[in-house]
Amino acid sequence: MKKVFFRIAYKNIRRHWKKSLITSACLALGFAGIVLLGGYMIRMEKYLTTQGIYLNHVGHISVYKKGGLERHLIEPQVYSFNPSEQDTVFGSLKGKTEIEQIARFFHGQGLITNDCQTFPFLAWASEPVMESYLRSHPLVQERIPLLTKIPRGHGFWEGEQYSNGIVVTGRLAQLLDKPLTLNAPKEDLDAQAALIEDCKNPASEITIRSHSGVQLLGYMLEGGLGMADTNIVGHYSTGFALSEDSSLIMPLSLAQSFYGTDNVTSLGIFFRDSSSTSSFMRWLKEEAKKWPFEAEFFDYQDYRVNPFYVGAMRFVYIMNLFFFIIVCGVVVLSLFNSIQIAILERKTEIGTLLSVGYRKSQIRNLFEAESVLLAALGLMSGLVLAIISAIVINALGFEFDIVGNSERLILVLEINWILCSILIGFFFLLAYASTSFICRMYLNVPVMQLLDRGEG
Amino acid sequence: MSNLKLVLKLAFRNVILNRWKNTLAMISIVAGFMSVNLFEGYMRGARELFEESYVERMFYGDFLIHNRDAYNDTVFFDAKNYIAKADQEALIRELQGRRDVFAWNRAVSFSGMLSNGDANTQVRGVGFDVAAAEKIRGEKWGWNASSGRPLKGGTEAMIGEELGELLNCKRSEKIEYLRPQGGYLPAFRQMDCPRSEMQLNSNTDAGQANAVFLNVVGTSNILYRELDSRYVMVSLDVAQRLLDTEGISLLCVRLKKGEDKKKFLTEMRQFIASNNLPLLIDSWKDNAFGDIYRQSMSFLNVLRVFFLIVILTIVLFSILATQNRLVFERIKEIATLRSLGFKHRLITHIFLGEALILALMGSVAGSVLSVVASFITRSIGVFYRIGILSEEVPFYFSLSGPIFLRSALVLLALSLIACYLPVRRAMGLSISEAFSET
Repeated sequence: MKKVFFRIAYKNIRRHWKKSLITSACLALGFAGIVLLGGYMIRMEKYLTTQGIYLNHVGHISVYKKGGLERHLIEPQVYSFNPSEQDTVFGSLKGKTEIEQIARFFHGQGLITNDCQTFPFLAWASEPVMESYLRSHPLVQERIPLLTKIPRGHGFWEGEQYSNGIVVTGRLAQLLDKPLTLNAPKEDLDAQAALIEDCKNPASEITIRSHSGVQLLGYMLEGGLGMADTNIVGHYSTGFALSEDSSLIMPLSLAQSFYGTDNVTSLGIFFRDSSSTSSFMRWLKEEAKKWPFEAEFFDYQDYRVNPFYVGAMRFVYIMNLFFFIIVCGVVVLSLFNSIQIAILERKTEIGTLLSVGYRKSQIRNLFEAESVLLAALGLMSGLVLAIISAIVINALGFEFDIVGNSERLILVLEINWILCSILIGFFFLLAYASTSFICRMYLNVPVMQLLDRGEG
Repeated sequence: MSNLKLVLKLAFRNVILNRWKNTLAMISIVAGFMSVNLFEGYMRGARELFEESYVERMFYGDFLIHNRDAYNDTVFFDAKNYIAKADQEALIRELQGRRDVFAWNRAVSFSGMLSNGDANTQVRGVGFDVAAAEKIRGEKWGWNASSGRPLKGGTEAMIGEELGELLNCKRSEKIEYLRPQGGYLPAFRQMDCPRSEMQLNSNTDAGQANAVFLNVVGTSNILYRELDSRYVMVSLDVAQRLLDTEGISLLCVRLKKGEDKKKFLTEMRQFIASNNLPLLIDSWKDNAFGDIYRQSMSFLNVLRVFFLIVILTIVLFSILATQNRLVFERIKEIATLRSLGFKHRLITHIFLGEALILALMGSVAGSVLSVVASFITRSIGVFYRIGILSEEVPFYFSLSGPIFLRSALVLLALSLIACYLPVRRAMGLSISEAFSET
């Protein structure tokens, strides 16, 4: 488009500044709305990926025995890695600079009892040093610090004295009537040893409450019933409402001794940078063909291994798409409207220009230049509006729920420049295309009709 | 009255006379109307889906009665603080005497280990009055088995679909068992478990180990993925035998359609208080059971506020731009009317009448387009997955009269505001200024 068109377009915008302002405001608002919602989506993605990768023991890539993801709880002896298989995997991954850590995880189930009442549990076990790495990872501390807090007691990774205890969810502790954790003040160690003979006797309730001891019951991998006496050393939150009443985490050594095995359920591979995941996955699948056993790999975006993240993000994507389509529709209609008014207002001018020899394409270019300038004005103001809104909202520190999460999170809107650039390009194209479309429609009218001063 | 008739007549003629430009204003109204309508329709759809899932499918009914000391969470109840036998009887006598009650169901929660001989896994579950639960589930969800068949009683059990898969229970492949309007097709679908007899172990109320043998007759989808892999449903008798108790965790009550829920709640609370029963009654929505419902609705409400602010402001600006131009193009017309002695008020009313007619026409067009959009999404069958649900849910708009009316009123208000502002400005000019305005 020639410079002269932009000059004329600029003059036209100034001449009709009120109308131009309103049209730009529509664009600005629509753009700011999408950028802010996009900012929410990006932040939520960060919350959920971090939660999934680090706190849910998924890793960037999870390695399971073939079929193990579905069946490891039912047939743990078949679907777990023995020490030699673990060595094979570690051997293959040795020297890979993109890997930050490789963690061994055991995922088991069983019953936990306080001597009178029994509840089922699902346990994740890891080495204390690894659990400490997961919970103190800079990304975890930056994005989801609330979820790493131990509201009562200590983590088993926080010192030798806790390294043989379990950390249960607050709700499970409540169900077990176990407010005390190991070494907590008021603990009555004598009561810990007391035998409860009658659970219906009110005195037994006091005994249960007065110490942190519990028993774990479960099937050992090689058969037979496994039992372990242990202490609750702390309370934690899984972050998920539906697993808050039945989850616990424990040291790998305790889990392996309880289930009578050296095996582990899965290996989690943690990268320095998530972008390595896909290429590494391809390499790993090739490498695994050399292993003497079959394994399966899942990246953290796989629904099977990280269903909450995938499901929640799909829901957010759907809502964003819905909003995006409606905003674009309303903005396009506003642009149509404004350009139609501009054409109808200036149809005599257009007729005159056509009758003195201007080409239709030149007149169309005039309107297109006007739209592009208006879009630039609207998008720039929209960007400023979005940045200011994000700063204000972030400063207010609103709390919000992610459906199914047990903890509230602080709302932080993040302006993403890549998203902004894509949206700016898209809105320019939208403004240009809608103007072009309307102009083509109206400029096909005969010149005589354009010069006619009658309505329509 | 005659003034109103004149105003509307003039307004209508003006709408026809300036039809092209008015069409532009109407397009903005239609866009705004559809946006409000569809978002409200989506929210209503989500609410209906939840309500149907909790009230009928999971047979919680409208109200839950439980021990006031019971610790309850999103899906389960404390197994220690039951509703005692005598309190149950008092409650049931009261419910039997009420005309507004459709059905009630006694339920008891339990947890334990389920074993089929080859494999074992920990489970949570519920025992309930089989016939009463079927009545609460109603016609749509009466048949709640995705494979096999629903419970009839005795030592029968139904398990979650995912739990069924874990226990190697094979279902007939690729059966489209969900009806488009929700609910399973009431037909037996083959299900083969390596061993249909399973053992359920748990502890009694007194801490004693106990076990029952169950015959698995069907699977059902248990809404939440976390539950679907570990959920067992048995009859109340079996659950009470397993726990060695006569207590129940919950009494779920469903009212007849159209009955006054507030009145029922107030009267039942009075009944509980006057009889000194250690019980509480809530709607499931206000209970811990409704946590996820409340979280979802609160999220959608926040989104709705944000959405409506953005969309409606854009629409307001768009109508304002059109109306501004329409009014100022006719400023000489306004000046002529004023010089002929027409009152400001009457002229303003004529313009507002035009805005009203445009808003109504826009609402009608918007309604038609919303219905078409809703029909298309339902016909295509767009499904999506929400974080914690075990199956995909349909994306659809549940439109209703009140939604149409609300959207129309919002757009009408916006149109009147967008019209009033330029008219007021035009009226502020003197007649000579108005004539000289270009």
